[in-house]
Amino acid sequence: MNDVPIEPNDIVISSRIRLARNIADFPFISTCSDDQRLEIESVVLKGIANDQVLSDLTLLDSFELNALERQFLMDLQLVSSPLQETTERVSGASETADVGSSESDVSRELPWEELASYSINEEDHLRITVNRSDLNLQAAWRQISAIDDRVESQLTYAFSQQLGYLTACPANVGTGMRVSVLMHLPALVMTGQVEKVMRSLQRLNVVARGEFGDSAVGDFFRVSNQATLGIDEDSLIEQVTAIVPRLIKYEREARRFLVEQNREGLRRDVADSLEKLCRLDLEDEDSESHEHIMQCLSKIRMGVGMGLLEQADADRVNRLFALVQLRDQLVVAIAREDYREASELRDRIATLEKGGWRRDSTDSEMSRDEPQEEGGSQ
Amino acid sequence: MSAEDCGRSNKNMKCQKCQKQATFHITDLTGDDLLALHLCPDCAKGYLETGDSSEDAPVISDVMSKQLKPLEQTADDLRELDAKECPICGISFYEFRQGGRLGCPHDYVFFGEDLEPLLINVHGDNQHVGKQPKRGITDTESQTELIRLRRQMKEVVEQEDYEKASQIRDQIRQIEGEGSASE
Repeated sequence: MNDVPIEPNDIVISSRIRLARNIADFPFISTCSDDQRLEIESVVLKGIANDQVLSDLTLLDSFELNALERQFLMDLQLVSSPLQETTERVSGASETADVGSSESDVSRELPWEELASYSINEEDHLRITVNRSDLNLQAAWRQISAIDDRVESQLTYAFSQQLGYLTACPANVGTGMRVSVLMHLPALVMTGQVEKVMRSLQRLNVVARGEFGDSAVGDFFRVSNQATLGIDEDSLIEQVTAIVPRLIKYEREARRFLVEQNREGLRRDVADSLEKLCRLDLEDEDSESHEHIMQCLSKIRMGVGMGLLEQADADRVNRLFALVQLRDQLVVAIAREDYREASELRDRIATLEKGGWRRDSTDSEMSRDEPQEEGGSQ
Repeated sequence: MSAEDCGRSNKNMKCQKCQKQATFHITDLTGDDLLALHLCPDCAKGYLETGDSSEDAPVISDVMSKQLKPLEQTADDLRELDAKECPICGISFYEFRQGGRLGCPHDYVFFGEDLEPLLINVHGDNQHVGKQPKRGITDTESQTELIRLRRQMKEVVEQEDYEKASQIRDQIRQIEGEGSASE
C-alpha cells in the first residue's frame, strides 16, 4: 500500500469524523416526550456553556434553517462546508481563521482547515462533527476526541463495557464514530464503473453513498466505515483512509481514458456546462433545476481538475466558486444573527456579481491566481 | 488476474464456488490488483452481503428483515419476539424492527440476545474496543442504577426532602467514583 499523504485535490473534497453520543439518564429521541427533548437540550447546552472551550463551538440547529437554505448549503460543500465555524480556538492555534476573506484564494477551494460543530436531538442526543479540508483524519480524531472528553466531563454518556457508546441505531453502537471522505468521481460514473467499484468496497468494510440529494446517480460520493463495533477508532480511520488512494487512481485512469477517447468532445461538454450554468438560477428551489445545477457544477469541477478549460473560463469558474462560497457564508451569518458580517458579505457578493462570472469579464482583479494546480494543457 | 477478465462475458462460465452458471462478475479490490470473480447469484449474494449501513440513516429494517427470515418459519416465535416491550421506555421489538431505532439505552440489555445477530451482521463483532469515557461508569448495572438514583433524587427534591436527596447524591457520587479509578 503506498502511503503518500493525500492533499485535497480535484478528487478528494473533504473529510469528516462524526461521533454519536447519548446522555445516560434519558431515553433515546424516538421515545422522548417534547419536554424531555427540551430538557436534553438544556442539559447539553448547560454542559457546553460550563466549558470555556466548548462554548466556542457552533451549534447547528437544523430547525432554524429552512429546507431551501439547507439544500443550498449542502450543494456548496463543493466549494466549502457550510454552517461550521472554525475552531482554531479549540485546537489552540492562534491564527485567526480568515474564512474566504479573499476571493482570489478560491483556487484552494476550501477556505478552512478544520471545523467543529455539534447538533442536539437529531438521531442521537448529541452529535459532534469535525470537518477537514485535507485528509488528516488523525488530527481530526485528536480534535474531536478532545472535545468529546470535555463534553464527557460535564455529562454522563450512555456507555456499556460490552457495547461501547450506546446509540439510537444499533448500526452506530460501539465507537459511535463515522469516518468519511467526500470524493468527486465523475469519470468513474461516465465510464459506468462506479457501481462495480462501490460494490467491491463492501468487502473492505467501507460503504460509499451518493452525496447531495436522494438520487443514487450523481458524481459525489461519501466513503465511510461500515462497522462501528469491535474495531477501535484508529483502525476505522485506517480502513477509510486506505481506500482513498485506490479510488483516486481509478478515477484518474477513467479520466485519462475519457481524454484519450475524445478530448475535444469532453472539453466542449465542460464548456457547455459552464454556459448552461450561466443561464440557470442558482437559487431556484425546483429540484429538477437543482439537479441540473449539480450536474453542471460537477462537469465544471472535473474540467478544471483536468485542465480542460481556457484560462478565461477558469477565471469565471473561480469567480463563481467565490460567489457561491460567500452566499454560503451569508446564510451562516444570518443563522448566527451576525448582521454586521452579513452586511459585509452582501456587499462583497454584490461586487462580485457586478464583476460577472456569467460572462467573460476583464475586470477580474479578484481572480489573479491560477485556477488549479493541475491546470494547463496536457 | 487482470482487469480485462472481469469485463469478458461468457455465457457458459461456471460459478467459481459451485457449478451453477456465473452471472455475477465481481471485481474485488482487496489486493493491490483487481481480482475478478465469477459467481452464481447465490454465491455472489453471500460474497457481497455484509449488511446494510450508511453514513446517517442505516436501513436497519432491511437488515432486520433479512436477519429474521429464518424465524418467519416459526411465526409464533416472531410474534412473541415482536410483542416484547422494554419496561423502561416501552418500545416493542416490533416497533424497533419497523423504525430501526431503539427507545433507550436499556434496550441494549433488555433486547440483548435478540439484537446480537443484528450486531454481528452489521459489525462482524459484539464487543466494543476503543475509546471509553474517562470517568466512565464501566458496567451497565451501575449505570442503570445511576439512572434510577438520579430519577429518585429528582423526585425527592421536588418533594423538598433534601435530607433524602443528599443521601442519594452521596450514593451517586460513590458509584461514579468507583467507575473512575483515574480520577
